[in-house]
Amino acid sequence: MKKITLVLFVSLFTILLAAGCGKQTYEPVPIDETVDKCAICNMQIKDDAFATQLTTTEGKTFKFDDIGCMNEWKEKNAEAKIGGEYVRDYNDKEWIPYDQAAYVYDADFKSPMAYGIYSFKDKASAEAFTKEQGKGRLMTAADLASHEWTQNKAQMGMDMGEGHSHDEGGEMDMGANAGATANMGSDSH
Amino acid sequence: MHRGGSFLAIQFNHDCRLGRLVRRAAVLAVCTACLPGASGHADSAAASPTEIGAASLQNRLDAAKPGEAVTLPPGQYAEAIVISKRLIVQAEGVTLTGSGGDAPVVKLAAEGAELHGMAVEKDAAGEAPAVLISADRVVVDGLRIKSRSYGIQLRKSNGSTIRGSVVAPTDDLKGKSARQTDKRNGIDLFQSNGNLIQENRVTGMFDGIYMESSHDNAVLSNEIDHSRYGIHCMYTNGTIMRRNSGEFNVTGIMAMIVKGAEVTDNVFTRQKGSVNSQGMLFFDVQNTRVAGNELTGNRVGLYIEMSRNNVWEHNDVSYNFVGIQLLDSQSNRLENNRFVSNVIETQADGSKDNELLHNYWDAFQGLDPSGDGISDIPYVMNPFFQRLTKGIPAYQIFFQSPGMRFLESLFTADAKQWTQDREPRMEPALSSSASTDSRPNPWSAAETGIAGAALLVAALTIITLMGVKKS
Repeated sequence: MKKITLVLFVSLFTILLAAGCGKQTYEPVPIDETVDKCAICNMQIKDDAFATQLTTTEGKTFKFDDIGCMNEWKEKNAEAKIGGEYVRDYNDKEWIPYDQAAYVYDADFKSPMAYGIYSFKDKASAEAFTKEQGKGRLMTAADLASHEWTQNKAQMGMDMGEGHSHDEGGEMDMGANAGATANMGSDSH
Repeated sequence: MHRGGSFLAIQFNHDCRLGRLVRRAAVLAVCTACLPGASGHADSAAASPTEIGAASLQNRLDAAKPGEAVTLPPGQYAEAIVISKRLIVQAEGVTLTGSGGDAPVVKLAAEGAELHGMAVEKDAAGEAPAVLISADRVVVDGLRIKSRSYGIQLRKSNGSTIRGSVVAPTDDLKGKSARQTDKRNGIDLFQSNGNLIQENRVTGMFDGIYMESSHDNAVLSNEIDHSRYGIHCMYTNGTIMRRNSGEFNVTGIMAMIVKGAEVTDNVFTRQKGSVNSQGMLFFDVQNTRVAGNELTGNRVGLYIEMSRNNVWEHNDVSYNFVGIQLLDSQSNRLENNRFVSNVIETQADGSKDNELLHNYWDAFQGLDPSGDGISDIPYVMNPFFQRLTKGIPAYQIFFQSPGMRFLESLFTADAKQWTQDREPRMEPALSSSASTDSRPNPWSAAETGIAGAALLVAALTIITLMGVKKS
């Protein structure tokens, strides 16, 4: 009798241990163009290379039309625990974990919300793309953490025109641009 | 008794189908009327086959001197042209199909160049438009464009005019089965300022009229249907959108990161095909005036998020599923709008310091002891349901359930912060803009008449054919 109890106890313990060790994985889910909209900007999400998604440890998935919107979501929901986070390869649209992807940024690159960041499955294809385009700064996920997340150049120019045209001359363009960038950041929160 | 019931059902179905047929026929008739060239250029091509293979159109353009008017001979041409000097090109009856490949069929690259009446077809998929405008003060007028990619693109073009043109996709990109990723925009502006886009018709494209980083453009009296967004502004200043209309788009006007726009006298009805449909959506919009618009039969009439210092007045927001959604928006003024027969009038949350005054909410029971037409009790918007369904959308199933009403009434501690109309109207305000109120609906009367006649005919047919069974 006692033996059976012991065996039962040990097996139960083993099962619990196994269950505890098994790591929950958060797989990417497909994009449904008819239903999915960006959790930040409300735009319909195209099933293209710019779509991104993250799943919280609660099991809720949020999808975005641009990696910049995903970044904004993370800033707004800093307390959220994220289980899985995916971007897409620019060439074959395969889902890649956010921290394993290679990124290329240029203010001239077009993207749905004009953040101008493209993602690639490896550094080689990212490099090939910058070579082909003749522009673009190579970045890693770690670099994105310190990225300024500005939305395209013309927008910055526009803000500059509004805010600085009276007190700054043409030669101050660069400084004015930087100022406008800072404004943009605070505007959107 | 029982049989009589099923007869009635059949007859009713029959009538519905008839009505739809009649309507479809009418739509077809209208479409063909809109596209006179659709049948026209095939004939002209047949009439003058000798034009093909003769001196190319590009040679004619090259031979002309700047400032000249050039009339191109009607016919169908499989070539692409570049207008690189200031010419006025008359191209009625000319159909240009390009030289194959993903390149613009027509390029207007000279300041002041004009192109009138041409039919342009671009069958190659990709990123190049049918018509590319890359110079200032270009005029295109009366173009008929059918494209597998973009219709008309403006790139760093200022002061140009796009007028009276029709943009449609190739046949396989029409309809619901077409993937959005395969579609492109109808009229697409990038870094182009001070242009006039007037009286065009865009149907079945991705975004009807798309403006990115483009300022002070006027978008007047255009019609957009069956596209994703009718008019889509991204990072624009001082855009004027007036008297445009649209139906069956995902969203009528999509204004994102917009400053100082004017949105007046537009009519957007029946934006309801997608679960995310709106009449108009405003996201991060500032210093914009939205007045005299008619938003009826949409899934959401007005969706407003993260927007500041705007005015919404004299808009007619009726027969939508949700009238207005106001989220995380401050310092806006909503005055003299009418909200009639929306299933949910308002959903508001996170919005402070907004001035809501003198709107008419038809589901609201006001009290007006002073008789000035203004209710003495405010119209208050309880954010409870909005908060609940934002977290877990499936809770929408509890809409108007008794338990939900009970819960709503429990959580009123922060009621002072809720969005409210302090002085709601007892009766709808008279609209300030004549165009929205006095617009008669020519269809409703005719449609009712046709439906009635069809019903009568169907009833008589059934009675005569089947007879009346005596029990």
